[in-house]
Amino acid sequence: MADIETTEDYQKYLDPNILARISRLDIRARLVVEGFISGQHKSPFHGFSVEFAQHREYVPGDDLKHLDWKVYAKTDRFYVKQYEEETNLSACVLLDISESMAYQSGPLSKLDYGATIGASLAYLMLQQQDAAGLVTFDDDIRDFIRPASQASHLKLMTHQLATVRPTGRSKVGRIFHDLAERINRRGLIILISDLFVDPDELALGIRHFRHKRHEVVVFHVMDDDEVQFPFQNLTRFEGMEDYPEVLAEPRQLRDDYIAELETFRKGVRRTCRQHRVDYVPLLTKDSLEVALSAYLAGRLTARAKL
Amino acid sequence: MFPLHPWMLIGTAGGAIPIIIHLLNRRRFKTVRWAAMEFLLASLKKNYKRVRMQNLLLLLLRVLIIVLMAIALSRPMLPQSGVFDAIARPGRHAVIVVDKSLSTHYQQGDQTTFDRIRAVAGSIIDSLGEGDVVSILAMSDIVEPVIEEPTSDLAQARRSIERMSPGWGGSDVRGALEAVADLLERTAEEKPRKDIYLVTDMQATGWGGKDQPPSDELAAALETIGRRAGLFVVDKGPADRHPENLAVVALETDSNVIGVGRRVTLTAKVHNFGTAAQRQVDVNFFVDNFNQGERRIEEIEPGATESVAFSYSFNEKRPYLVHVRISDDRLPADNVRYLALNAGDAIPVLLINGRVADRPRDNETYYLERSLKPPRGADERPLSNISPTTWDEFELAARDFDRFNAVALANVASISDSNTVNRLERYVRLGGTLIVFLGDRVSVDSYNAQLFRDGDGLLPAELGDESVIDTETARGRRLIFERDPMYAGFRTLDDVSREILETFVVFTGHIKATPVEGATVAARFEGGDPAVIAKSYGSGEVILFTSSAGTAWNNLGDTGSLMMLMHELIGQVAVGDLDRRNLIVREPYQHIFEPGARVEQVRITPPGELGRPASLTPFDQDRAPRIVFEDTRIAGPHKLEFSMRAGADPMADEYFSVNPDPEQSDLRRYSMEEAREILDGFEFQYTTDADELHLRVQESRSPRDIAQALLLVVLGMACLELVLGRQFGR
Repeated sequence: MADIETTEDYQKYLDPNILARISRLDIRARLVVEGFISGQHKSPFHGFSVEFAQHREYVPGDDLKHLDWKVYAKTDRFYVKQYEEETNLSACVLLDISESMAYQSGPLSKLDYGATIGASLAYLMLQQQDAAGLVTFDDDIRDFIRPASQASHLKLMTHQLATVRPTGRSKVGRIFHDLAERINRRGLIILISDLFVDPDELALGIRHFRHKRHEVVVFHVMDDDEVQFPFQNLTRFEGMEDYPEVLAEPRQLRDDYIAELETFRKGVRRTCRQHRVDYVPLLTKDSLEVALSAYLAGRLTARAKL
Repeated sequence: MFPLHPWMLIGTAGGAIPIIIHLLNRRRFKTVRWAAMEFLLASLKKNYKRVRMQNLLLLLLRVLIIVLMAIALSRPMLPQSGVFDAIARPGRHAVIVVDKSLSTHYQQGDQTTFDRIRAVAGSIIDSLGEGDVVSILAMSDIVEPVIEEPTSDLAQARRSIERMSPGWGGSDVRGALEAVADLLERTAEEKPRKDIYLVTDMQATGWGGKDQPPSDELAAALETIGRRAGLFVVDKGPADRHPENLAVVALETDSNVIGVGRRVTLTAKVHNFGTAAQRQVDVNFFVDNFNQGERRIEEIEPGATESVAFSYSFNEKRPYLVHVRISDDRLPADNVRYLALNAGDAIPVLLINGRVADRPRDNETYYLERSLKPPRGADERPLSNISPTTWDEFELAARDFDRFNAVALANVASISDSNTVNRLERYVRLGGTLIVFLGDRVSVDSYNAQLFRDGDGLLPAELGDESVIDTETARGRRLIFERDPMYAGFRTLDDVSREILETFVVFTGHIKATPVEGATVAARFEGGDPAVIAKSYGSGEVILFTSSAGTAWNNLGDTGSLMMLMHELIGQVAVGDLDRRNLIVREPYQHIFEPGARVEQVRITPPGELGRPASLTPFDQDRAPRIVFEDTRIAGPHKLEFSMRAGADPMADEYFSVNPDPEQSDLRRYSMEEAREILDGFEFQYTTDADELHLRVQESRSPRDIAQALLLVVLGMACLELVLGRQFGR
């Protein structure tokens, strides 16, 4: 695989500040994943399927348990057993593309960040022979790419992700019910959103997914500004998603704002915990490593249950 | 609340500044497209009322800060007893100096100047409050404490002020300021804030001359006052800078010796202290309160003195009380003048005999004695009430001679005893008259050493050689009186007497004398040598005859000329009874009894007051019994009553009179600028109005107290604003 230098080069792409300079989402996703993977001790590639496919020569990094000792005994060479990859894990990325996702204080808007996560995950999934799908939504489903495991699927997805424009208001209630019905195959639902939605609808939607025995990972993407509320002077807040505009002294409101937000996040977290959903809070300034690690953990859970 | 700098109040308009800033800020904001609107709206909804309140509070605070600052800078005058006042005022010590000099008797409308001064002093006390203390000083020639220890009993202080009455003395602003500085130093521990109020009529005489530079003491006093307190000069004098005033400035007799049944000429002098001529001034003459006549002065020019003479015979040997009165003007206190006299009273004169001889005629004092005690006249009345006593030289050293009106040394060889010299000097300094006749026994060196002492001693001239004429070969020298100017002792000597003296008296011997500077040569011999030299010494007078009293060197005694000269001198110069009995305010009255007088108690009744015993210094070995009465602060006749010991002859009641110093009748007043010049530019607050005074007091206090307190409040509010602003997130 990549040498040390390359590894470091790749890893730096986990930093949103660097990523922001790369406009092509597919490249971005590749860089993120390569950077992420190179940091892992164990190669996540190679399946866990039982049906043997072929042998291939051992390369450092391969799991020793997959060494074919018989072949070694015969040939005095290390061969790894490769299996026919099963594509029984189907993951679907649900990306919120409502207007609120356009908020941006750092190098990446929430949507950019979410799209990068989505693309990276898709890349990762496709690399692992999993089926990856993509749903973009605001108050309705805007695009629906069914999960598939062909490598060409990535291009379709990244193109879709690269071209989304944030519009409208997110409304998850009906969409999630709809999706829960439309995604037949049990799998992994990856929700990337700022979750500025009706918490009850969100809870109902997640419950519906869970009811359909989907594993759900919620990537709660927020901007640092939204968490810290660092504004000082008189500010006119123009509401996205049809909210009115408000002229306010942010310093006076900060404490209560943060309290409100915290209540909201606690509510979401509680909902997730109730439904045994992985909840991953993310800030657009955070390294993408967090998101990818969380995904992998979710994937393991999902597979274990299959 | 009265602003002193009303224009500063324009600054209160600055209170609009925070509002304007607020409104401007409303227009200057950042716009953010915001996603998490839901939470913002929720917090906004929750906070709306609180934020509004906070904003209003902050705005109010900011407006208040600016308004208060503007008010503080306008130096606000808060009314007394305001709550704020009480906070701002840590208590103060008011020192009130009340001018009670003669000039405060001046009538302004139906009030006197003193009434006004008293009212101001009262209002100052009224302006004091809880926690304040007050000291009161009365200013006349001397400064008397009325309430010296600062008292917080304002009612008592008020009563003290009410009880005060105007005096008859002058005023002494410099002395008062020194006394105040002294008081400030002593009471430095008292309230930190000290205000000095000098309530006066600004009479110029009280401030001292402009050419008189402030003494070191005054400079130090002013420095102390400047350091510790504020000085407020309240001028309650008449509006006029130079008020009109007529005063009787003198009532004199033509001689100190008032014989019984002799016609005495009494002269009243009326001076116009004003700026306009006064017409038809009636002068009334009273003896023992009976009007004895009226004279009219047709006109007195401003600054001029007119004399009116009355003639009167005091026909009994007893004390008389004479006074003159002119019609009242604005200042009645100086329109009357008293003269107390004892007609026919003996005038004791001491003669020291320098040559004691077996034959009385050869005694050096023989002719002096005869001259002073002439035989009775045809009407059996004594021609003179001079009563000579003759002592030998050694008695002078041993006995008290204070009671004599004059002491004459006749050919005394020397006075080597320095104690006697000292006593003589003291005697003359306190008003005694010393007449020195020389002669052949006189030791010139001893006289120069003991009595002349390079001009510091009693003698008005340094003695030189004897100049004795041999009568066999030459005739003696004649006497020539100096006429321009005429010596005061000879001023009543008429032309005939003078001519007789100059024609018939012949001198054959004298001792040459060089007059000291300041001495007056009253008469010379032919050839120019001084014959009579006089000089003032202290309050008394020393007259030196360079010739003899006996007939050795002249024929004064033979011709009766000596009688003429001596009566003139003693009548005019010697401290008569009149001088001792007729005093200026604050001059002490001294009454010396004959040795052995059996007086038990003397009671003195000042005019308008109750009689009180005077302290009697009893007779002892050296000194005659005497009383000294120093409390002569009230003008008018003072009655003397004597209680005698059992068996002694009773003494008739007598009088002594106290009159105002004519200088005090000059009512010219200084302006603030002149007063400041006199105080060497010392800064003080000057006002003529009590209300304005209170304003000025407030003003002088406000930068230190009220404004300071206000600014402190502003500072506190600014801090509060900072904290609240931070707290509220603004």
